[in-house]
Amino acid sequence: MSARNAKAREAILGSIRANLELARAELVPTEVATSPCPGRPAGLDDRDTAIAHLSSTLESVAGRVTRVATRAALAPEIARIFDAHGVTTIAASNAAWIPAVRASLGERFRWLATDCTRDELFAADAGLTGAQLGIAETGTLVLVSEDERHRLASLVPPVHVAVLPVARIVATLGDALAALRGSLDSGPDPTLTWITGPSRTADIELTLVVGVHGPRALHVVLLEEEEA
Amino acid sequence: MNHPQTPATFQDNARAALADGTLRGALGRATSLFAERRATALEGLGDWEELRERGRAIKEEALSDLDRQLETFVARAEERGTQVHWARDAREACAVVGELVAAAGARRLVKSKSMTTEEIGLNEALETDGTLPIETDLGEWIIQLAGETPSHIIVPAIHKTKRAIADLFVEKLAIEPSDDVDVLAGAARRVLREHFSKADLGISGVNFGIAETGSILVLENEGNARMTTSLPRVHVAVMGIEKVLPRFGDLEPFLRLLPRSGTGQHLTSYQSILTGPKRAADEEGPDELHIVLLDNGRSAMLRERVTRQSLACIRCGACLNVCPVYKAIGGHAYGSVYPGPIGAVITPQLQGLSRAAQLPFASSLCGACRDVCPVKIDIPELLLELRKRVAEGRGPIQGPTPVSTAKRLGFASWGFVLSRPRVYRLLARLARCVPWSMLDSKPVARLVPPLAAWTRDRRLRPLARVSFRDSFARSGSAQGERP
Ligand code: SF4
Repeated sequence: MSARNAKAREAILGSIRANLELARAELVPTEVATSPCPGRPAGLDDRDTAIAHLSSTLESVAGRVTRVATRAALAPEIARIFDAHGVTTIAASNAAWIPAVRASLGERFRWLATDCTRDELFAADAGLTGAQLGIAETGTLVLVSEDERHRLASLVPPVHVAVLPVARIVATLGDALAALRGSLDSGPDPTLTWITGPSRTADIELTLVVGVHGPRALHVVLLEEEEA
Repeated sequence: MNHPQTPATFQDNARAALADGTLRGALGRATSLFAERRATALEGLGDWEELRERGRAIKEEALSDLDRQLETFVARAEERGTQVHWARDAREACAVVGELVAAAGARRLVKSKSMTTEEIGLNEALETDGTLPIETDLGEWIIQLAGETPSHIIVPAIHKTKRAIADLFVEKLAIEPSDDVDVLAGAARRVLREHFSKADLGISGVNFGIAETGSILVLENEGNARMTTSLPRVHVAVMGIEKVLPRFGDLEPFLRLLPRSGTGQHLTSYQSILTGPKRAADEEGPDELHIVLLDNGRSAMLRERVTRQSLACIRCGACLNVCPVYKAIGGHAYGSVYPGPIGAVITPQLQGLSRAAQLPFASSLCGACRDVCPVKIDIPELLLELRKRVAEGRGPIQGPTPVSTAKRLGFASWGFVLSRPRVYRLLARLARCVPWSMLDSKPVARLVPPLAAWTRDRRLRPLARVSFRDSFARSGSAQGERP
């Protein structure tokens, strides 16, 4: 640590301590309740209700949700979505299920290598990734960087298609945070990306525009088949 | 307006803003839309009050133990490879970021919206070094192109019409004229993607820091913060020391409170929770993650309960949207990055009361801000406290008293009269004899100095011919009762 940094650190911590000391008399120790956080929606512990809630919430913010029963049905559904968006070039993550999808689609699309250049990535038509968690309460996908390289594929191309196994849907924000926190020693994963709908802005005369920076379209494919 | 707007010129700024019809129209639409959306977003969330209590309690807990929370936060962050830099004030923070830019050899900088970096004047500082960051939030970018400053916490370019933005784009980006918002946003997307694909350093703010894990959370809708924190090889996050929460799970109430209060969303489109830079060559994300921890007057606010609560603010903007003063004049008039009710209390505390003595008076004390604040900050209480300090000529930073002797004398006599019912009644009777209709005419009112300030924007109202007390007493006796 540089001398300047050490000095600034001591000065700031010193000022905090001195000011808190002056306030000590009226600082009542706050008891933060350990009860569940207020505002948790009820009823989402039921699997079907949770799936329905996730879908309708995501659709209310311009996301699209479809469902497939089996892994085998993934490839045709993904191809259908890509065709609907006129996609030719795909930036895919390194998820384990992607090579199978790719193989069954043959030469219909152009697939970028996972180590493609930044220019290639910026020219891609769609990103294809998995998601590690779904949050029913808010219609949110959570991408965990340790498990998959999907930070950029889910962000840069104008269309993002994400596959979410329904078994990974949790009920509330609290459930998601508990699952993501990790043990205290290892802490959470380096990057957690939460996605609820496509990129949006209302910065020009409050008119909603989707896709100002991130994807214009977010399509979630819910997969019912349990993971192997 | 051609002179720079500062908190010290508030009254002039406000008068100019009031005369701007376009601005008032835009402000009216924006603030009522957000207020409506907020109300809708709260429906069905029955526990809103308890949720606010929870949020506030967590903030109180963190603030009353801030030194230890920060030490834990820094230790955890460093364990994960984040480099932490402490900065006592704005100048030091800008210097630190400048050094980081130089050390990284960065030439192309991108930045996502952050009030803290605006508070320290980071762009101006970096511009003198020849490395001006490109603002990438659409609204922020528009006003950077136009050479202006933000006017709303959530919609920075709220003061600009579609037409003005179109003209700006035609001039600066050489696009075909268009008043289609999608076309305009598309043009911005193209230009900004060019910047993102080449940027070597990204600067962001921080919404929450988590002590127990050393993580930071950045929340947004556009995706520019994700780009800024994911694509360049260096990420620098500037964070006020008050942003730290003790536990990872503490995010739960704040993720319910903040989007609902700010934009009326259940959740913003994106949250990035970042815990250190990438650890392996084949991972994505920046090689280096730096956090600059900024004090800049915050630690001094811990001393008293009244001022300490301003550190609980999560910068949602809800108090702006309900404030009758903000709704009429917009953000520029406050002359600082923090506008509206929260600006009226924070700016005097950060910049010194002597430099922003007019701001605590920019309120009708209606209390609407307190009612909507997701962390239950009692802004009217704070405003009154700051007014008291102004009147007493003291403040967090000692400054000259801006209260004139005439004003003080005026209030002293007012107090004298009000505390003596007989004198009051006598004077009131005299006042009823004044020919009000004559006084109400502008030339006469302007002759009497204290009235001139009042009548510039308002009309004098005549006193009723009979006082309420008298008429009540009369009607009471007519019915054979005593009041
Ligand atoms: S004072 Fe309260 S309402 Fe205003 S911006 Fe801060 S948190 Fe939001």
